[in-house]
Parts: sequence; C-alpha cells; structure tokens
Amino acid sequence: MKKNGKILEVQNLKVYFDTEEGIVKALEDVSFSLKRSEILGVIGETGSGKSVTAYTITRLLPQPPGMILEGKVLFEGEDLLKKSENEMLDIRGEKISMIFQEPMTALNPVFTVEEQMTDVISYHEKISKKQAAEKAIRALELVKIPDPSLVMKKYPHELSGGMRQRVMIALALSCEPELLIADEPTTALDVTIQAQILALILEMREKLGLSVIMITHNFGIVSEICDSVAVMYAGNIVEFSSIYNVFENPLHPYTEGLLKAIPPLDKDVESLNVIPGVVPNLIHPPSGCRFHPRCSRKLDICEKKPPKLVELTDGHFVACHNPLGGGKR
Amino acid sequence: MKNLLIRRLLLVIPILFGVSVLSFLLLHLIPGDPARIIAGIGAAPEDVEVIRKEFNLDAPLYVQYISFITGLFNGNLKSINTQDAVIKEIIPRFVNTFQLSLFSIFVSSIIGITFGIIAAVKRNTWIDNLVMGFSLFGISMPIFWLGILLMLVFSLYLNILPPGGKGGFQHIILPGITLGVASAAIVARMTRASMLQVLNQDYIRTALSTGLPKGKVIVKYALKNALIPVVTVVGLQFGYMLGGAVLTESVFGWPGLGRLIVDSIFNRDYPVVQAGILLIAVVFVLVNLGVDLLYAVLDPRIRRR
Repeated sequence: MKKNGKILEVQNLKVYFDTEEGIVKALEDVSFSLKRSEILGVIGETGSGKSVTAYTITRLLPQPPGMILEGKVLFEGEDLLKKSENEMLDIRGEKISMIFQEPMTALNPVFTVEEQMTDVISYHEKISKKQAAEKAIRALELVKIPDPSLVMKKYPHELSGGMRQRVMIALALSCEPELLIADEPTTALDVTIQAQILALILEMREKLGLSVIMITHNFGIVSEICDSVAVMYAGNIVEFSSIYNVFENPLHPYTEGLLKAIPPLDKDVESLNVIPGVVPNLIHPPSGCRFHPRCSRKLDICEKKPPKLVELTDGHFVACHNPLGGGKR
Repeated sequence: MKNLLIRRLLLVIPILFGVSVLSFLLLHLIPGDPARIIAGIGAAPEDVEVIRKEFNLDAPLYVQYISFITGLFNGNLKSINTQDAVIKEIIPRFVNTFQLSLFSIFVSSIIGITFGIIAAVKRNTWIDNLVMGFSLFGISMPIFWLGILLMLVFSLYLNILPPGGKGGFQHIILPGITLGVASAAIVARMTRASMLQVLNQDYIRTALSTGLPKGKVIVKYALKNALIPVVTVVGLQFGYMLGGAVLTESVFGWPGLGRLIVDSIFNRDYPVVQAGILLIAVVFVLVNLGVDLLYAVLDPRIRRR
C-alpha cells in the first residue's frame, strides 16, 4: 500500500466548472505526489487552481457547478474519487484534515469551541462527549493554547485571530490525521502570528509525523517550511520538485519570473520585476501552453501544443517546451 | 444576558406609555365632540349630556387618561353595550386568540422551517421549485378561501372535523391550519433565503471538512445561524395573529379578539375598542421583546452588546 512511501498521489486531475458565462477550465492536467511526513508547498496566483485542487482531493468541491472529469487521487493507494460520500466521511477529519485562510469566519460563530471540537471527536472516535472533551483539551494543549479548559467554553469571537487559527489547527488535528491540507493558513494573520503558526505546523510534523500540503502565494512561506513545491499556473502544474531544485535551478520561465519578482533585501530597487500580462481567463484559456502569451522564451510550438509535465532531471518535473537552465528535452 | 434583559424591559416602559396615550386619545382625535360620537348620530341632547358625565369628558385630559388606565384595571371602564367591565369582556376573547395563535404559529414554524431548509439544500432543482411554488400559492391565496375550502373537505365531505365554533381540540385544527399555512409560506421563503446565505459560509465548509455528515451540518451548524431572520418573521407573524385574525375568526366562528374589536367598532363601543387596541399593542411589544431575547439565545455575539 505504501509504495515509495508516498501518502498522496494526484494524477492528471481535470476539473471544470459549469458557469453561466461558460465552462471554466479550472484544472487541466494536475499531477503531483507527496511523501509521508513531507511538507509540499502548492504555490500560484489567485485563480491558478490551488484551492480547487485541495477541495477536489477532499471531495468538498461543490458539484455542480464543479465537474471532476479525469484523474485519480490516490491516498494511501486508494482512489478517493471512487469513494462513496459515506466512505469519505471516515476520511475527512479523520485521515485528511483542512485548515483555512480566514480564521475569523472558518469557525462557527454561534457554537463554543468545545461544542465544535467534541462533536467532531465523538463522531469519529465513537466516544462520549465527556471523553471527547478531554481529548479536545489535549489537542488545544498540543497547539500551545494557554488555559485550554477556559478556551473550550469560549465562542470564536472572544478569541484573537492567532488563537482562532490555533483552535482551527487543534480541531483539524484532534483525530490525528495523516494529511493536513492548509489553504493559505497565515494570509489573514500579521507576520509575528504568521511565524508562530508556521512553527506550529513544523512542530506538528515532527511530533505527529504529519504530511502537509501548504497552499500559498507566498514564496517566503514555501522557503521557510516546505520540502518540495508545486508551482501552479492557470490550472496546470508547471514545475514540481524539491524546494532546493526550484529555488536554485528553476526550469520554468514562470517560476523564474515569480522568484525574480521577490525584491532583494540587500539592495535598493527602483521598481519590482513583474511578469508582463495578466492571468488568463479560464473560460477561453490560451491555446497550447497557457503561459505562452506572457512568456519570454516562447517558441512556435508553445501556441500549438500544451507541454506535458515531465521529469527533466532527477525528481525535477517541468511542463515547458523551452525550459531554462539549458535543460534539453 | 441578565443585563440585556433588564435593559430591554426598561425600554418597554416608555413604549407602553406611548401606546396607552395613543389608544386613549383615539376618541379625542376623531373630529367632533367625543360625547356625541359615543352617543351616535341623532341622539337626544340629554343622552349626550349623560354620556359626557359618565365618561367624565369635561375633566382635563390627564385626569381622563388616569381614570381610563385605572378604570381598565379596577373594572370602572365599562363596555357601552353590555355594561360589563371592559377587562372582563376582553380577556376571555384574548385567551381564545392566544390559543389559536399558538397553534397556528406552531404549524407555521414546523412547516415553514422544514420546507425552507429542504428548498435551500435542493436549490434550483424541481424540489426547490415545487416548494417555492407552493409558498407563492400560500402567500397569494385569500385566507378565507382556504378556510372555506378546508371546511368543505374536512367538515362537509369527510365529516371528521367541526366546521367552526369553540370547543375541544378538534375545533382549533381547521382555523389553526388556515392561519398557519398562510404564514408558513412566508416563513419558508425567509428560511430558504437565510439558509442559502449560511450554506455558503466558510464555517460550513469547515464543518464539512471535519467529516461530519451533511445532515448534521445542516440541521445543527447551519440552521442555528440561519434562524435569526426566521425568528424575526415568526415573531412578527405571531404578533399579527395575536392582534386577532379577523378573517379566520369570522369564517370559523372563533370567538377571538379580532372579531370583538370589529364588532365593537360597528357598535361604537369605544371603551372596548380602546382597550383592545391597547392590549394588541402591549402584546406586540412583548412578542418583540421575546424575539430580541431569542436573538441573544441564538447568537452569543448579541449577548454582549
């Protein structure tokens, strides 16, 4: 079951949305994999399909309008896309948990922390509410919440943003999942709290052997905590490798552009490096490679044929007809 | 919570004073001489003078107001028709109306909330359209027509329920359903709209991501959030019902407050009309107070304000 120590393999995921304006081709061909206890960063601009990927994995994608057309999501060797809704209930929260961007609205405002946590724990572990409450307190202690039994009685609006995100993490980890999908968990928090939450996620990986998918649009976060990174552009994974490979030796022009857009701290710069153009409309995406209208290394083939994600060097995947670094195809 | 209750109760006092003044002034705001109005067109001048004396209409207004209020409670304020104390006349009628309203609001909430949830969860499907179609029908339909229809079916053809009057529990069923169904239609629409909004919230996605079954997420985590606007509407409906559902009461011969007030208006029985209006206003204020407190029960964020 645990071949190659891979906990999750996403293969050729194709997800469209049927909207009034037309078919939104949200994910075209998304493949990546995640090893046990690894932290994978999924990075991309807004609308690149990061969250759609996350919701497809957990089958929380609203269908309709969403349509999962092709692909597999192999979790511990089993295809989640073939599971029934009832089988998914035993996976969500128990084996795969999620945390979200906005801790302000991700917790239910009219129930106490205790109610929200014990409901989930007693449902999955089939234990009494009282036992669940003890377990919830331990989970809150784990995420370093001071005075957990007091916090249990509080409503979300009585907690600070950082505390709420800690509660959210405690809720997600309360049933000891194998995989945590974090959808921009620190975007809404100020930087000191951000650092604390990231440190907490790293610590949970050490303590619980947790695997993490970290969805973000911030390369800083990726460099701080991730082991590998998948770069998404307009519904495709354009580059996927270890963090070292991607930062030191980016192969895709888009990745290079993103890295160049980070202003250097040691020099004064007049203006930021930006990638020209805007993210394409996914109802009528560009032909061939979806990045070609903005690409400085465009070849004729780029307009005609979408590039496949291939392993160019050892463990370094890229979807590009004319990759950087002299890599030949 | 306790502070909120005290503050709201204190707020009720000036409102009650205001409505009592208004209902008292009713007689004086009608153009003309109040004594003559009470006596009716073509009354002999002597009769008018008797009435003027009896109702103390020569005294200053504030004295009249005080004697109106005290008379209400000590029974000195009497119905012109029956010469009974107004309070004795009104209270049993109000109890009848209260029973009918309670039954109707129960029917209306159960049907309305259930169908509203179903429509929201199955939005844009034929189930949603069907529920909303019925709801539109419920809102548009004249209430007396539904009453007569129910009476025909259940009393005349099936002969299982009495067609009207006041007696045992079976007497309340037809008027209660008639009144309840019309209001259920409004409650269903409100529940659907509010549920749709809540179902899109982040915390519902969170609840689903923790693996709780969808049914539980909807009935527990979504519904409690969606109930606030629904409670508002149910409260208003309940208030209207308590004010007397004249049409339903007339169709089913239900001896309620609404009919008493209408009859009293025709009979120019002003003390009864005034007391009735005052009672309805008081009840409305109290129902709204109850709704406010229910908000606080539902939403902890309101408790602190």
